[in-house]
Amino acid sequence: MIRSSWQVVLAASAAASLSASLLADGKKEPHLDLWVRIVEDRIVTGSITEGDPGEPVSEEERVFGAELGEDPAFPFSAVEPGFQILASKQTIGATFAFAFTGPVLRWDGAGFLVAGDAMQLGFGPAEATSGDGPAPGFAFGTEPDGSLHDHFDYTLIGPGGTDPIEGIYVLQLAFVGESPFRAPSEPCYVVFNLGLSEEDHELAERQARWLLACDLDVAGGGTVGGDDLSALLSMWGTDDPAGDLDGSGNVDGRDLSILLGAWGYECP
Amino acid sequence: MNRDHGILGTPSSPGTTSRLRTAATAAILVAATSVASAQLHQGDIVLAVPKGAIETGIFSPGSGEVVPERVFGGTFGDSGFAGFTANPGFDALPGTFAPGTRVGFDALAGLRRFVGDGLAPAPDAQLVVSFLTLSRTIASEPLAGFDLAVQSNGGFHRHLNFTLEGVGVPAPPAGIYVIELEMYSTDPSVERSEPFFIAFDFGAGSLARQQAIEWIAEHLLVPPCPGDLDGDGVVGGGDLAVLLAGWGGPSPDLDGDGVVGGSDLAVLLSSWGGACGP
Repeated sequence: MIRSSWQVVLAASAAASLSASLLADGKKEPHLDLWVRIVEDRIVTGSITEGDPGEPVSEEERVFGAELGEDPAFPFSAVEPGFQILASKQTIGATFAFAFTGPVLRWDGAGFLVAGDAMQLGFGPAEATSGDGPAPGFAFGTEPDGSLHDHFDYTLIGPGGTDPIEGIYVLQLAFVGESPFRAPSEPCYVVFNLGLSEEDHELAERQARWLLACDLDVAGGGTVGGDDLSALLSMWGTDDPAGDLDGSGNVDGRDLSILLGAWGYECP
Repeated sequence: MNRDHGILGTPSSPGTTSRLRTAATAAILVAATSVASAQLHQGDIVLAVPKGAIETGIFSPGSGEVVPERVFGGTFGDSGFAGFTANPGFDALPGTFAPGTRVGFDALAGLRRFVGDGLAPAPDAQLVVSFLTLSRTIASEPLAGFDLAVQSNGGFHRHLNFTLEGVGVPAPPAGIYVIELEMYSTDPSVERSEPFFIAFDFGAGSLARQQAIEWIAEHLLVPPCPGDLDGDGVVGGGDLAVLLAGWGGPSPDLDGDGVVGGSDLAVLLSSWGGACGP
């Protein structure tokens, strides 16, 4: 396996700490769709429940979970997460598009690496496949009331067109308003599980939040360091989600351990 | 695939609507059922199994209920792709089906076009129905469809891809295109749905689609035949035997009073000798 120059690896101690916390929680996240929003002429991704329309869960969310092969007839495919845009005047007649912001990543238990996998997305006559780097997707329009609720087809392809092996894979996407123009979203990440345990899937999702969406960069400086430590300590004992890295509901020693374990990490 | 094609061999055609199986009670479809609105999609075809058979309906956000329905609408191009739509989808609440089973569709007739006072064959068009790697093309004949896995919670939410194509022409003419489907489950304890229709608008407009929906509802949905308890298409001695066998019990309760008795016998006798359907 070739590790890319920007591969992200989590310190083993932090990963072990996280594993313990996840096992203690034992909670399974409900399935959520990806909510495409317009905020001040740029696209922001959030999460929203299934339903038509769904109920917003988080106004800003960049990591989503999904399962490949839930239907044995399609062992490497999924149709979740769906995409939703809520009806509004500003989205009537609008066209949006997505793009691949990087290659499909494979989780190795401690981080994410490039291993030659790809993912094909399809919707009706439109089709696009991820590449070795950023790659174009396709455009889609809203319904007459400005809403959208579509489920694209996702199919994972192994290196060289082979069948993929069991594992956890990350699709990197961003959304843009094509007409009228809206600035692209931050990259978002769909963490697909192909045959591994739910515990592994949750761990990989959490690591994607830390390392890809870079929640570890608490202070937003781009590198995990002293300013993040300072920020985290200022939240100590609170339930501030920015500092609650393990999702326990409290900013405490486990969050500190996770941050220290990634000291010096540069966000992608 | 492990499934039964049931009445696929007896498709309906314009003017000769397929005979609907009769139920043991007078009810055609599911009684209105309150549901959690967040779990069902407005505009989707809701699937329920209230009495051992799949029944179709729509979710009414105003009342929060599922209302029985057998004629649905779709619009090609609703996501910006001409001749394509993924709506309506199919939606069932968790617990509706047994996990591990599959739910699918069959087309009971070829693709037809609404002509103002009926449905006519559409030889210049065909409808491709697909989901990931599975694909079926509804042309002029009935067609066995395909099935998809029920979700692990017993729910079902899938949007099939519907793509309208021209046959011998680059694109089919604008119009309202109609398919007649039946849903099935691979669970042997779940009976097939009654036939239902989807009217797709391809550039004809929502008014034309509504006219088609109303025409179908008026002319192609055959009322139930409550006395035909043995399903032979005629109300007669066989049905009387079924009713007498259930005398005093809860079924076949033709008048809905909860017990099989004289009033049910009256219902049966009122349609004695009558044929079900056209």
